[in-house]
Amino acid sequence: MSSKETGSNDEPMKASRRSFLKYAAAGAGAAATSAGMAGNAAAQEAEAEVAPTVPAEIADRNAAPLPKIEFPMTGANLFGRACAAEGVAALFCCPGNYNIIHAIADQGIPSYSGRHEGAMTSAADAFIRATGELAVASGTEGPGFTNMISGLAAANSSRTPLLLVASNMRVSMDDTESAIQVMQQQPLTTGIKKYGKRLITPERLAEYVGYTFRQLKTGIPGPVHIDFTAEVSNHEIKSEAELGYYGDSGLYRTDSRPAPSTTDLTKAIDLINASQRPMIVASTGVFYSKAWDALMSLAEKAQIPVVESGPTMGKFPHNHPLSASAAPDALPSADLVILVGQYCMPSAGEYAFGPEAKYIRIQPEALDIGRNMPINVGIVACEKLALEALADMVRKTDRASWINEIAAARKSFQAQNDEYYRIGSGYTDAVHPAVIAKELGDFLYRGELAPEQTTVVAGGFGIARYTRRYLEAHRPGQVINGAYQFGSIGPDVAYAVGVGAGVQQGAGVQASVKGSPIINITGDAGFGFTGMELETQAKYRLPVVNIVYNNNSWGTWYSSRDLPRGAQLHLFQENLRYDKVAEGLGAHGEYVQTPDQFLPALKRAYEIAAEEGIPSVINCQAKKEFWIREQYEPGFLGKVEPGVMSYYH
Amino acid sequence: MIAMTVPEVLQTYVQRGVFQDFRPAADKKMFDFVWLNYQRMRVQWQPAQQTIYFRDVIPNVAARSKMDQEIRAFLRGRTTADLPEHRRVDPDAFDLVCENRKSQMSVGIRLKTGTEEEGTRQLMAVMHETFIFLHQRWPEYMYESFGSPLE
Repeated sequence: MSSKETGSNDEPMKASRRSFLKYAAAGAGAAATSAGMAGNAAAQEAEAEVAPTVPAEIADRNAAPLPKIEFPMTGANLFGRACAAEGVAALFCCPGNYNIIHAIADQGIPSYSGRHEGAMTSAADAFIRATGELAVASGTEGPGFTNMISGLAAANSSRTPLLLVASNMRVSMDDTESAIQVMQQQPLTTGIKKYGKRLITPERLAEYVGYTFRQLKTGIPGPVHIDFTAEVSNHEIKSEAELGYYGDSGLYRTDSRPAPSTTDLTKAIDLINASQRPMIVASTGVFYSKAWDALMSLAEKAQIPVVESGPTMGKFPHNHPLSASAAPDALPSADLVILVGQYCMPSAGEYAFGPEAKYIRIQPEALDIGRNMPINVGIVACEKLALEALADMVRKTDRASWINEIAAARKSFQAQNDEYYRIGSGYTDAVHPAVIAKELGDFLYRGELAPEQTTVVAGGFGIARYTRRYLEAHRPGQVINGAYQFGSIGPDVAYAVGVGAGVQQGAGVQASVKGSPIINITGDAGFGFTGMELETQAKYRLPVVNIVYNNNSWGTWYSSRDLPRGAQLHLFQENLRYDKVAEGLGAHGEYVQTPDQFLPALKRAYEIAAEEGIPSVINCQAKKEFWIREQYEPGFLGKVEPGVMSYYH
Repeated sequence: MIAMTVPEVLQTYVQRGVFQDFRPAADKKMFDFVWLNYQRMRVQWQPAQQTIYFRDVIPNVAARSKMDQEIRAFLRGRTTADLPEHRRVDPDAFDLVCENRKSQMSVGIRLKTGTEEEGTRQLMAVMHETFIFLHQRWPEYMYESFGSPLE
């Protein structure tokens, strides 16, 4: 790996180049608040001398020798070996659960440590959502584990096949309160995992490795929580023979997938043929079954528009003429809705499809089909196999009038967004969210960058209501829906650690953009939860441009602003300098106070990310009153699902 | 095919799982059910006036307020020629009507030449789209009046 990629401490962050960029801009009037510092070369030199540096152990981590793991080995090493054999692509952790994290790292699995176990759980979740590959989150027993619970719940809502592992004290210490951190973990994750197990019988570890990866790799995905008592992780396994058939993944699980029945397919084809205005909702299962080619075949052959939902966007390119992801006005016209892998199921009225619409649902397990919404046809099958079969069976169809309606709806949505930008750019004393959203979209998709290049973490609260409207996904995994379903607004910086790691590695579906910068959108409230993970981004040289929408308040302020005692509970200090926090943590900082400063700052940050691998914070100074419609049209925006605005389902 | 009556059409939404907890009055002129946002709604059928109403379906909207005006404009837009035919309320067949009494808005459809079945289905579609409009344009209202998440 080159020093450019690693950011070796031999090159202390190229401070002089970044200073040049920053102060050149200040000289042009683009960074007004830097003006007082400009020209103070001596002070800059002094700062550079004490700039954060990446230690060689991190910078050169991939060059370190891999220990040879042989029998006899510990239970921890057996688990690490299984993770490698099953294709685990990353580990995110904080120190603790030492046996396990060291065993995983010793397998050569890319391993990252951060500042908070919850944040690392979110990073692992996002890595999986962005790449489609497996990842492990690990924390120590007691508080390390409890810190991870919120991240696990979010992964569960997103149906992420996350492997959460935590250490635990010895079984022999149960109920004693001897030493510290004795607790039962599994009851605390009830309802927020697909499968969980406290491992207490050392001789059965290999068997539970089988349980773990069967759950992670089959059926509707979801997180698995394993807690290792010390007896299990320290247990010595003398030889391969002790594992029995659990030493071979081909014997303890299958890659076979359920195929659709001909009867169900025929019923579905009849409905499609009878439909005037069918629409496919491409959701979570399309991503995890890698069904995008089959989806394209079906959509194009039968001329069926596709709208996206789910925690990851890009299963169908938004610039395709059949994409309805940015055509919300057309959704109520659909007379047949084909929900493909829609694991997180909306209730009546939550999706914009009208009350007359008929429904086909496709997913690999029957248990959920029919929940919340009635079905006309249910197809129990792997989404990819079902879409391939439907594409084979469906007849070529011309739906010109329906496709024209979709195009008109896209145009109408864009016109509405353009109007929001026109209004927002007229507010010149602070940065309106429409300015960030529109100019970011133009920069990513209509400028010098290839539209498919940049992966985006679409997080934040109020800002997200704007940016989602302008974000586009042109390939699988290009946009990660941060707050999906569980509604956490805090993990965005941590999500960007996971996505940044996935792109840095070129893991899974991010292979085509390996090493590219990524964008993370968050708010000032969200930044407060995981902002310290900027240090994690910086130390691993993850090229993340973090856009922080800073309106001095929680997004909840505007609905509580008239409460005499309650309103202050929703406020922060004003004009906080998250950009300076970034600089202190080894990242680059930009402070943007007026609309005209945003795009130049974005360009600088992106260039630094691309050329030096260094993350940035663009601290966009807004104001909380932008959410008040009576004062600042268009105010706080609502949303329509499914499509680009979708994040509940 | 014989067109269905208002009660018969409403019953189809029960069978298809769109409505929950459907409670028709004995005279089949008032119907209670749970639908959008898991809210209890009331449909009133007035045969003499040939009008079907969602009664007090949009609460807490001051008459002549900006929101009142925007909702009325949205409803007028449901009859314009630039909407696709399958979405348009044909003004020759139906009138869309809207009342605001004590800040409770009712939305209805008056049958002119259209049938009860067409009118009921059109009103259902309009009501559904009105809620989409409210979610998109007035999220804080949906939070305060319908318990939608603000997040």
